[in-house]
Amino acid sequence: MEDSSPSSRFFELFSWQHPAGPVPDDFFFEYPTARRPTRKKLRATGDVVDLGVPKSERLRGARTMLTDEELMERYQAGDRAAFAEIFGRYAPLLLRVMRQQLGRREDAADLVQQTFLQLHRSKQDFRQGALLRPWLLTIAMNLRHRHFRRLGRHPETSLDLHLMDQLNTGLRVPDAADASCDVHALLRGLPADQRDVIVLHWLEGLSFSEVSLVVGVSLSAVKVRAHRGYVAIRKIFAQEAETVGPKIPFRGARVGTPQRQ
Amino acid sequence: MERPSGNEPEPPLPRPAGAKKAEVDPDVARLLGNLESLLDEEEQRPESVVRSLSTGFRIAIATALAALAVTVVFAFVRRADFAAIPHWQLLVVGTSYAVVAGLLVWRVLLPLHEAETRSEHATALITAAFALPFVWAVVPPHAFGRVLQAEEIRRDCLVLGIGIGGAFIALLRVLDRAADTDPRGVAMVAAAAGLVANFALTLHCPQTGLAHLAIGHAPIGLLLFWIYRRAAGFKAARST
Repeated sequence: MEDSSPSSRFFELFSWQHPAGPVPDDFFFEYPTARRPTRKKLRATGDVVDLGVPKSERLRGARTMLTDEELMERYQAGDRAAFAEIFGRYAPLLLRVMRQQLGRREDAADLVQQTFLQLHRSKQDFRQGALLRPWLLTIAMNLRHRHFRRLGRHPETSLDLHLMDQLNTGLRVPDAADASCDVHALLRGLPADQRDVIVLHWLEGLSFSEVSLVVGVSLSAVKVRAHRGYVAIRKIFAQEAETVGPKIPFRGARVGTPQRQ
Repeated sequence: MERPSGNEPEPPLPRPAGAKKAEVDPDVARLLGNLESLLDEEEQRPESVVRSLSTGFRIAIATALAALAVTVVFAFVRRADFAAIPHWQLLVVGTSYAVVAGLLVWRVLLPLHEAETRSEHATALITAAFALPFVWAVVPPHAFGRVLQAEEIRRDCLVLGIGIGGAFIALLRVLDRAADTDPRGVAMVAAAAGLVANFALTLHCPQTGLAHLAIGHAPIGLLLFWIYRRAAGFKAARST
């Protein structure tokens, strides 16, 4: 039977952080929850470290997860576990971004791998005060540019098999999942500079200032690119609505220009 | 109550009601495994120590070694009429080479976490780097008002230049964290190496004839580009 007591939820949701050192992973598995002894008893038998800080502070500490930048500092100091944690946080995002823009999944995986390899090589360049997310995305974007340069083509011409099927069969978008693919096809039709901004801001949720760090242009230039991109998308939708009627709204889409900063 | 020995499988944590188990993309797990073995391999390689140095330090190493190559040429195979050359004349030629080569080295060793400069800038820089030795061949130092009569004829300029340039390319390859083998990346490295070689030859060869400069000095960058491109293509073909 599943134990859903508040204490077990708490220990599952928050990793225990304390200056005295981490509590061993198996500590709370020692006692089945129903028979878990009180802390007083544990202290008496010497089975528990005396944390020595007020409970309120311990709880606050437990809730603080390491930030990306703290993880990066640990990695710079040689902690490989911190690298795995950074990978766990960002690999899915990078894979998503790469898959949206590259035709082949293998290429996307390869570029994500190279991104983290570059992170490893340039970890000494990471300065205090820098943000990891735009830093990592800039590496990914640069690698992607190089990939296209090496192939001698632009991302606009990359077509994945799914999209090719749609084009060949001339199918209308039947459901929301396919519609999200349609959005990616639509984004591919935009100029690369506008597409990058829209993918990072709209789909991946980066702020405009983070996007400006990633693409290496000023904040106002990023906003202009986003605006032009959204205008182009709206035009395409308007044309489609005129010719084939309104479509099913696609997954995650919002009406109008996103307001997120 | 006994503590678990550590060999027994851990009982799963009870999940809060309504909580869904996070789905892990199989690609992500596989990638992490591959990556960790890649990192282990990487740490075995001697060049990984140099590549993991900070960017400023890597640029300093490249600059110092380029200066060393020029110094070695100056020390051992210096032109006989060196004392007769006006220093300002050498300074103008040397500065022009050093500025363009420095920008190219910076651009080549620029880390990937910096947003790339516009491709037009890179193209302009490469063009300038390939053209500059030809400019100094057509408008040689004697255009500044003083013609030096070459007392010695050097026939080893091309070979020496390619040797110096080749060594510089190898150095940049070691220092570069993500060696770019597309034509633009190759051209930047070769152009920088060509400029270093040309400056070394300025200190080595006293000849000021247009034919000699245009055939024996100026095209070294282009030749290095051709050789490096072939070598990079050959290596890529072998790896696939």
